[in-house]
Amino acid sequence: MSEKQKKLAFFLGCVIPNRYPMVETSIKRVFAEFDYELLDMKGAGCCPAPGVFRSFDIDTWLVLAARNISIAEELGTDIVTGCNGCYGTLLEANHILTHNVSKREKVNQHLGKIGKEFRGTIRVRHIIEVFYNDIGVQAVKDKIRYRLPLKVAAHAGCHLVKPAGIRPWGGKTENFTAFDELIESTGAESVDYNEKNMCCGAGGGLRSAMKEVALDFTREKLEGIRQAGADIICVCCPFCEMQFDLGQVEINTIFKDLNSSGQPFQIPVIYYTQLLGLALGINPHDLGLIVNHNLKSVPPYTPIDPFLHKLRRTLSKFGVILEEL
Amino acid sequence: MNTRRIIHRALEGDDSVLSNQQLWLCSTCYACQENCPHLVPITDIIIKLRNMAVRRNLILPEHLELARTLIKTGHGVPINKLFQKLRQSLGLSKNPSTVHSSPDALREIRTLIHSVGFDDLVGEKTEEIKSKSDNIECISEVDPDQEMEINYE
Repeated sequence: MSEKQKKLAFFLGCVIPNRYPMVETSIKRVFAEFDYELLDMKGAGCCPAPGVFRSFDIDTWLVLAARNISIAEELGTDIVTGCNGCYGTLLEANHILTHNVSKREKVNQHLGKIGKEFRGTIRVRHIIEVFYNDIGVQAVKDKIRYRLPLKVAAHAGCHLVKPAGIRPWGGKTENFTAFDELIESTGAESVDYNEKNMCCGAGGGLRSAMKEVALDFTREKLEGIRQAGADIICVCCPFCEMQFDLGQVEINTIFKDLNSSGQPFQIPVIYYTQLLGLALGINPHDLGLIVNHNLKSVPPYTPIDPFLHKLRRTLSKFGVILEEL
Repeated sequence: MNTRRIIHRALEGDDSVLSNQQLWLCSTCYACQENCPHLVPITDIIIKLRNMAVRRNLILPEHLELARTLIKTGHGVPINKLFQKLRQSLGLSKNPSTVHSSPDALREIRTLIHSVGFDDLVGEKTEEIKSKSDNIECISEVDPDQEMEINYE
């Protein structure tokens, strides 16, 4: 692979840099391990979110997405994002504008006012797709230093996989296994659970305006995840992460009586590059797993201590000695 | 939420679907669209109907707030002081290298938003600007260009 192919424009979006920055840290750190240079997309904005802003006005959604894509075109590299929503928007907008000439002309009339142009010269990727299709599961396995003894509930999320048409998964939606395979490359076991392919509930503007409906999706998934005996939930989207992480705190308050076992949900939620990074031998401080701040009301809202304790032998190799739970 | 009923009513030109809050219960997960045996682009139709609803000022207050946040900051979920501190504790820059680090980029985003007319759409005056007559549309009357987008798969 040439130097040029190993550069990618890193599209941050909103939730990663502004709510779950440990995801930003861990993606940058883990991609460096695989010799990828992630370039800043200076001045990029909201993707804009495919569930809400596209629902409000498709034309605005398309024009703002085109502006973001044009920033990567100027850098001359493909885009990579760690957010399913950003992936959905940028992939679909890129597809529409590449194939629909009249749409592209209209969009470029708007972009002309800010001196930009959509040219259709790059691809839009998700980190999971880069790991699976470019780096490959075997190459990931080859780099693993510590096998993680965990039972993991994988939640790949919707927009990574659906609609299948223009996505690089060979038409697989309900039998999507790429994320499970990547999780298992760390030595962990990706467990089956009830409603595994179901939405986390956050998308489409539900989390912002219909929170109880959104959390009811999440609760149903959490029941299945708990029944399967998973140690953690592993995600590859910060919005799904927020929905499971902050969502468990909210569900434990709102659905107290509906919770089937009567026990509060407390399943740690970990982003894929944090999990992989640890298996690669990257210091947990550099992955945002062990923090040195006293800030309150920041993630993780559901404590990840049970996850850290499960991996205490691995962590001790980094000099991290945990107190008894 | 009954998507079949919503789409049937829309096809019949029944514009009450636009004011029905059920229209906003879809998480846009695409599970139904992917499994539809008749290849109906269900989710894309829901999104199109939501666009029509917003043009009639039928938008939930939380969503209106979100739209205005985008215009104000360029992000749907903007940074704040607490998360600036969290970023710094992780060794990251106080603000991400996005529109949050560039007043010029924010001006660009606002120029585009104004150029498309999104600011008017979600502005205070939406109700007065939009008269009822120019908004009576139904899904069967979408122009070919819009149809192409619905079927982009």
